[in-house]
Amino acid sequence: MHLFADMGLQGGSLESVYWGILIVTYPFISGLVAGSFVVSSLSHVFHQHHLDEIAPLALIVSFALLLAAPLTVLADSRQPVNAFELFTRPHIPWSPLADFTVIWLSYVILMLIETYFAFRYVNVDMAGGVGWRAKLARVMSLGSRDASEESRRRDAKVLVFLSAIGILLAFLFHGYIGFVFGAVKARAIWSTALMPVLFIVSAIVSGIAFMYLVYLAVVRFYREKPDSNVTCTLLTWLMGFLLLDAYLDAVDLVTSGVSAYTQGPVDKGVSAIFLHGPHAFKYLVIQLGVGIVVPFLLFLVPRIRHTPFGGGVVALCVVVGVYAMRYNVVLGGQMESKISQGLVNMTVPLTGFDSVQTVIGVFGVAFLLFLFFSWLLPWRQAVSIAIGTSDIPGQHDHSDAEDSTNSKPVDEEALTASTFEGKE
Amino acid sequence: MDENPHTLTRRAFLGRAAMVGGGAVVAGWGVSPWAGDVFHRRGIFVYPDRPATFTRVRTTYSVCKQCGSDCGLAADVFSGVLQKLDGNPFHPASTEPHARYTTPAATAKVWSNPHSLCNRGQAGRQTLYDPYRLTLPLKRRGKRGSGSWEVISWEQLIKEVVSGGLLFSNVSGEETRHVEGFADLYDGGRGQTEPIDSSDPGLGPKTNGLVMYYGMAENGQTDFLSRFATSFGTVNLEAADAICDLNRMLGTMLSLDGMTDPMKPDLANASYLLYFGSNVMTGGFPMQAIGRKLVAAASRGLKYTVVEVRAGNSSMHSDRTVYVNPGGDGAIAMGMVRWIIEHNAFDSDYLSLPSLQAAGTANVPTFTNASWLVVSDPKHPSYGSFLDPTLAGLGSPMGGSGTGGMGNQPSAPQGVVLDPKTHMPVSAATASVGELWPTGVLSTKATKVNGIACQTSFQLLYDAATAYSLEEYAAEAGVSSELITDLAREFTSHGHTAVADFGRGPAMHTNGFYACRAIMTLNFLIGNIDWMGGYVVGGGTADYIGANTGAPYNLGAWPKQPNNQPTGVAISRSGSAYESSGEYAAKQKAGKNPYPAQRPWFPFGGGQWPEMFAGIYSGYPYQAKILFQHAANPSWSAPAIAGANDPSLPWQRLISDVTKVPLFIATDIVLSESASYADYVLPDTSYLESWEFPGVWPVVPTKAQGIRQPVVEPLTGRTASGKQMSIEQFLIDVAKALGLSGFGQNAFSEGGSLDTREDYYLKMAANVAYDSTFQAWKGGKLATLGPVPDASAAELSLISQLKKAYPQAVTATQWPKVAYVLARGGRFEDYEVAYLPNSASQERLIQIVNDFVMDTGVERWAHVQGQLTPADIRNSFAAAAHLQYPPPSNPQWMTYQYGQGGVACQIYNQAVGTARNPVSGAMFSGTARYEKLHDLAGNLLDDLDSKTKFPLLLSTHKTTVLSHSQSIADPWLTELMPESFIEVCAIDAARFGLHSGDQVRVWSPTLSREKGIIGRVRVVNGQRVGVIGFPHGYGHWQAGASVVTIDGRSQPGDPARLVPVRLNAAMRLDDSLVGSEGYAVGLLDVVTGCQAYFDTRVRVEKV
Repeated sequence: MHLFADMGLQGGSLESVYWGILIVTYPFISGLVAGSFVVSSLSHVFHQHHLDEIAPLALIVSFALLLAAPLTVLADSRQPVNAFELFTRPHIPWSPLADFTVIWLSYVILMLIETYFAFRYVNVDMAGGVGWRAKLARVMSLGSRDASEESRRRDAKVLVFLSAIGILLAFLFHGYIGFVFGAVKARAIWSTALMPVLFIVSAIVSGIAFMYLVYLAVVRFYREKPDSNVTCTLLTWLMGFLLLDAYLDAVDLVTSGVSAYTQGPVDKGVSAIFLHGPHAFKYLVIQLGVGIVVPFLLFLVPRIRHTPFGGGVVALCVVVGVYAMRYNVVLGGQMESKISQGLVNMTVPLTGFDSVQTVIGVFGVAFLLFLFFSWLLPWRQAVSIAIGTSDIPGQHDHSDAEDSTNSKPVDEEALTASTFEGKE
Repeated sequence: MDENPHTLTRRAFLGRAAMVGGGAVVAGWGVSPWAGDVFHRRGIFVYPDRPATFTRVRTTYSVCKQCGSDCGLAADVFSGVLQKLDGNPFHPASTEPHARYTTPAATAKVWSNPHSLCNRGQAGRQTLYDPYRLTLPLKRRGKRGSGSWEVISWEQLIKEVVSGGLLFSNVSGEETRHVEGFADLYDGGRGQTEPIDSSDPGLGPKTNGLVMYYGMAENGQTDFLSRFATSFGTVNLEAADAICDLNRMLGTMLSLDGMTDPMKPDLANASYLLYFGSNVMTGGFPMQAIGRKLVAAASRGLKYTVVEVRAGNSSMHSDRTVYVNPGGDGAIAMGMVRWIIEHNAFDSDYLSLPSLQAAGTANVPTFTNASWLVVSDPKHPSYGSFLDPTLAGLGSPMGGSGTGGMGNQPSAPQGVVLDPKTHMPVSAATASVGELWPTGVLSTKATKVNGIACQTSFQLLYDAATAYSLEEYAAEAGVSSELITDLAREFTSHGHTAVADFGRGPAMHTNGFYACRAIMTLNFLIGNIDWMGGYVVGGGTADYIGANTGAPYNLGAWPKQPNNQPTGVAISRSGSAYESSGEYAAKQKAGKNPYPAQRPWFPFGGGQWPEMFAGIYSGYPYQAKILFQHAANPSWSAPAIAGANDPSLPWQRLISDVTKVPLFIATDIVLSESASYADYVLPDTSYLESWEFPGVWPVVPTKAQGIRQPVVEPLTGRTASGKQMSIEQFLIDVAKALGLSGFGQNAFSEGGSLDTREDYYLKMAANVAYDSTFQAWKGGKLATLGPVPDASAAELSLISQLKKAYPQAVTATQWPKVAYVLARGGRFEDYEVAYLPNSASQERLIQIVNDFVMDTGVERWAHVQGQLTPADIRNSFAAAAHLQYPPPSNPQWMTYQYGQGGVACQIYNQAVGTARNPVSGAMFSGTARYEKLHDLAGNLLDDLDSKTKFPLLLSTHKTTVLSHSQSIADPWLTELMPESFIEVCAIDAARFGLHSGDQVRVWSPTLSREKGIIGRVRVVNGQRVGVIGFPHGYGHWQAGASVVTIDGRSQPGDPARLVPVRLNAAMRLDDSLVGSEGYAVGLLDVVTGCQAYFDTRVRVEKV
């Protein structure tokens, strides 16, 4: 028996952390969805043709993760069988959490359409062959047999359009998670207007970093050499967004960690949980240190930034940092007692309900989905077509101007420009 | 990157198969804990935070203790965890009008009319679940107050405190200190007969070496403490009255029969109220009920004036706020008395009635002793006493209703009055009227009766009132004489429906007792006692102790109860007159002037902490051996002698000294500032885990008996025998170890043992259930009800756990009735019983029910099953109160009348009028009077403390945020007001160049500048110029505010509790009575021993 009566608070009988490690993982995965979608869109919409090579891969990763993401919420809910009640009861539009299902569904539909157009040409191409793969390609092309250049241009236009909508949806999808947290007034630490922006930016950061790692893994799998155009472009975008993320984190810290600039409960909570308390290491060292400072420092070293492995370390740090951010926001935010008495403690179980095991399970499912989609969708053919026949009208001219003339040297220059110049 | 799936190598195939297979295994393992739930429904999942109406949420009705109001609470408990606290709909302090008592508990649970607790009450959950709660016994490891503790077992605690010995041999300096335990004092019962001081056996036995004192304990628990003290044989069981409101209590009691307290205005029917320092709607008890009733009455046209140093919530609805000079309330009241007498504005017919019989004939409910004659010849042996019939030559006194004076005195005095027609003396008991002015109107000249010079009580009152002119009174109060005239004129213009009420404001001064007497006298002058709209006593409580015939358990008596225990003189000298002491006799014998006494004595009783501590320090009149503190925190709460963490303050000097306090045991729910000095701290139950039987202040004029019962299982640990640790369990176990009667086996006259507190308190609940004095209106008459009905099966199920755990506590036939009262959180008369049934009371009741039970529109769409609509509630009141029948014509009196006791309202109190000041030897005044502020030796404070050096007076008040020491544990409250400030009025702020937020140092004549207390200024409006104040409740340095070490483990404090400011330590010590060892107490009222809180001059300096 404890001397002080704190067992009530620590044992969860009075207050407990309702949202556990699975809800930490949920915004992390949805962030990867949004981020990897942005990577694929960089190619489609923002003409980052160095990324053409991984755009289809990013789409597949994004789709697999999108389908896996709700599993975290289902696994967290005590009775997933009741999930259908979100639609059968009048939750929409009154419940912000239920509204989210609409956004998720819209996103799934968009992804299906985008996937169709992204792979239509390849499927049409493959449909002419023989065997089961050709049969599958015929099904996947939904009857389309038009392999003309014009059709490819039309596909590209549709893709630009869909990606543009997709980016908006990705922002809505992930920004909404930030909103859901930020709108909970009862949780002082969550209740900030910064929440949606923080979530989106860190989502993009984590998505780019994750794609970097997936790309390295995939080329390793096929025993190929990573394309430095791809890695450098990804790293450049990563650093750009990381800079924005660092700025937002700084704003967040200043407006919640300095007592003069914030409200009492926020100040008390941030101080007791993140600056001195149980999340101090996870916040100061992992989230800010490993997640932001270390990647910048590593990036400053040309030898690291120019090697795929070095870039991989940077990306890994970023991914770890973003996961820590989700962990700190979701669990740390719930540690501040609603009745202002002490901190609500929790331990993440390794196995069983709402455990590390279930998180691994969700990633396992996502991995299987990824394998399935990469088998189902001929992304490598799409890449080879995209790269090998880079004469797609309307895109080519534009991309050429950027691509062939300014390709790598420009990237190099961009990476080493002004800020970093003196340090090299 | 081209690839043909048909040309897969075996190696690649195996790799991919492994990847897919591995992925599937990992994914399958990972989803296994929850995937099954997708296909099967586990049942209804219930989140812990449930509303009261949700299945399995149990609602227990108990009584709040977040301040002294004792409002009824409803506790919603789910899975053993308290969810929410609300008001008990059955309880008249929480609900207006409260649910009829026969309402089923299930119906009350969904009561549609507001039944509320204030913010403090609702935050009580945080006191219960305070992370700093103590749950196991602690023993100090280092010196007292070192903050180093070890956890010990309950059994070790009992063994050590009972047996004593070398208990602290591990503490440096105490290696050889032998500590006497309970057994050493009790000595197998011999301690009860062996004198504690053989040279003065009148001081009582050796067992008086146990000094017990308590702070927040209430009825029921105090009776339990008293049972132990009696059985052990100590007279020293001291309440906190003197630092609470002793002058208000004694000012009321000694104006009445010596027992009745408090009185309150009948807010429903009063037309004018004059509140002196009551802080109503903020601090005055019961805060909610007063606020509710007063605002409703004000909206109906009630006028009221508040006389305060600082405007609180009460001023918002008042017609006038008078900012009085601290200590000047008595001057206003005496000025009014003078004006009223001189302008013949008093009710002379009423004041001339000399007995209850005469009053009955005149159709009034009470009488006074205004016309009684008092021996006024200073040389006469009966000087100061009422002229009794024998002295008047009327033969032996007659019995009857003419008794006056102190009802608790063995021989109540008999009065003599002069017949107005014959001018001859007549026994007050037989006279129908007595002369007020025997020697002419406004003449205070004595008259001779049987050769003895006498004055009437009324003459003596006028004599006292003329000590100062109206202008002098006004100057003392810091108001204009016109204001006094205005107030007196207004007060006497409302018949019986004007009331002067008072709280701590006028009381807590060195002149407070007489000020309270003066305010009581104002009420007597207009004869408002017991009238509807007048000053009323309320219905009191049930006979929970079982003293009445027919009660199932007489808990005041038990087998083998020691005879004549406790005996002797309390170490505080409370309840003993100096003139009957050995010291007095010895001095007289030696031919010395017996005055002054070494330390003051207080013949009128009351809990006397300040002098109790002084007595312990001085070993006067004897040495204390064991100090037992319960639910008290003097180190923080006591003014002047404590209040800050300063080792030079008297209390800390006392408590740190192991020679003066050889053994100090404290109960507490946290390690408070006082418990931190204990040798042993035993974990007590919070008010939400305890039993008590508090009543309600007569703001509620019906009979009301709250039952405070545990709403959750206590968080305290259990003893080896499985008993829950608590103060009661400690006393039971100590008593059993000593073999005291009334505990353990054969503890009750009716049979049965006392092994746990429930054995005792459930019997108390049975006494409440079987009380036969509760009344109801029946057919236009009042009828007694007898025992409560049996509980329904549903209500019985609410106490099933209790019945299962303590089946033998009451009998099988009593259980259903006990369940009935527990299911309702006590026993309460229905609303209408407050008044005798008549047309006026019925009309007012209809109005109140219609005012308070309103249709809100909600009832049209929100309706819980079994819920009564507002219309249902209104109808039930109308039907039950027979409001539909022609009203019977009873007088417009309250149902419960002070007058029924037959004791006069004391214009003159003989007990006071014949007692002497233990310092000067002068006689006290039997009537009200005004005294300038002074110290114990009689020196005027104005002469002692320079107004130039100390230009401001220090005051303090309560807010609606924190009420007592334990509230600091409630963040819901401290978030409303995280720290307190030194409040300075805008004019003073300008005078002294202070601004809100400035850090200032406050010091006083007895607190040096170096030790001055630092706090922040808040400039306020609505405060008397020349006064600074601070809200009560802050300035903690323990109770979870600082680090303590337990079993070598450091427990950090919560900085939110370590906040300023508390200026109690700046309050003035009375240096006229410093003992030879340098121990002084704060300023006291020498009549009563009541602490003067508001008479300290201070200096404020920016730092």
